[in-house]
Amino acid sequence: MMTDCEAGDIRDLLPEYAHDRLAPAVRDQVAAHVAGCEPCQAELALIGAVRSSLAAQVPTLDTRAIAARVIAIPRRPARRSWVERRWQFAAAASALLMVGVSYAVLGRGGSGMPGVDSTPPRIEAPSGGNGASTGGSTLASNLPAASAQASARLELSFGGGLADLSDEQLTRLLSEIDSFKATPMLDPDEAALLSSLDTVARGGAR
Amino acid sequence: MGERMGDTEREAAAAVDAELIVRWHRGEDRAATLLVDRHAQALARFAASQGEREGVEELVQDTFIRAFQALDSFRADSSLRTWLFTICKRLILDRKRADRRQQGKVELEEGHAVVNFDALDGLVADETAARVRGAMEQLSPLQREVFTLRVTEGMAYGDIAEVVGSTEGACRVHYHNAMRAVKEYLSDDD
Repeated sequence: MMTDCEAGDIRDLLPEYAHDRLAPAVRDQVAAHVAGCEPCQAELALIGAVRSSLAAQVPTLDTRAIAARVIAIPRRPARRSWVERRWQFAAAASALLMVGVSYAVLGRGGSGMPGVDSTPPRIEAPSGGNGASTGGSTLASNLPAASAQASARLELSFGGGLADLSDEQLTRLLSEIDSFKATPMLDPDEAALLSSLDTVARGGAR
Repeated sequence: MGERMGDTEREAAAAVDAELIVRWHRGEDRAATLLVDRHAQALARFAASQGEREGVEELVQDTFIRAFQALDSFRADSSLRTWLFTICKRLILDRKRADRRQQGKVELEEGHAVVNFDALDGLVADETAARVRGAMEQLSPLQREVFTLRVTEGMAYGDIAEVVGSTEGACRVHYHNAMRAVKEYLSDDD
């Protein structure tokens, strides 16, 4: 009867030792033990015998044929990773926020302006949300996460939250955002335009 | 004790697999070939150890097809190989159930059945292999799964637990019980 080595922690590592999967320091320790331990030598030999006997009866596979079948599987469009999506959600939310603010500023002059709705789209945070709290780490290191969290909390009054968008809608939205060339409200000429619009609006109100 | 290199090695393997999956999604066919090359033979060994003799290649192929069809649902919190083994194991169970139904046999309760382990029939080339085969025949299916994954693949208990749907501690017990049973069998056989 093959006996068991009493050093259970060493015995437990023998399969990894046989597969050379131990860190060098541990491997040396196991090797030193095995060199002087007959039960462990016998167990290692048994592990080797099982491995080789099972390996011998496994057919050599035609992996190219298998790969060809796999390649023939119709591929779904690649879904972006969550990290990528987080950035894109944040970008989308920021852009929509800016558009909303622009509308608000443009509509500030009152209802007398043709083509300009005086009611800005509302951007609401759900009740109980604490937009400032991002978990305690520095703002710089947490910026993407913070933006993503903020975007997740935002609910745009004109059409539901970003999370409600399908992948297709989101893609379309992102491409529209990509096509934005500048942010109007920050443009000095736009500021001048706004000022003149205000003047006109005030005149109209009188 | 217990500082296994497994973690580093697993992380490196996982990084390679993850990169290949990304490339596959980007349309690189070669990535699929490399993924198949990396894991196919290990899956075949596992299938053979579970008594699959005919159609091992088909089983491995089906495993990859299922895996690639569901690649979106793969979560990197387990290794790709572990996930593939899990799919392969399910397919083996499906086949066994189908075979039993076809043969009109009463399905034995899983985990307690001592099924015929005929994977080596006609293929055993030497006496040692024949004795090993005999030793493994007397293990329960669960013991054999755990024992095979540990001995032939050098898998960590945590990964084995994922494949067989058990706990790390239980797998450790199954492994040592299996090792004891194999040793006893071989000693009696002397």
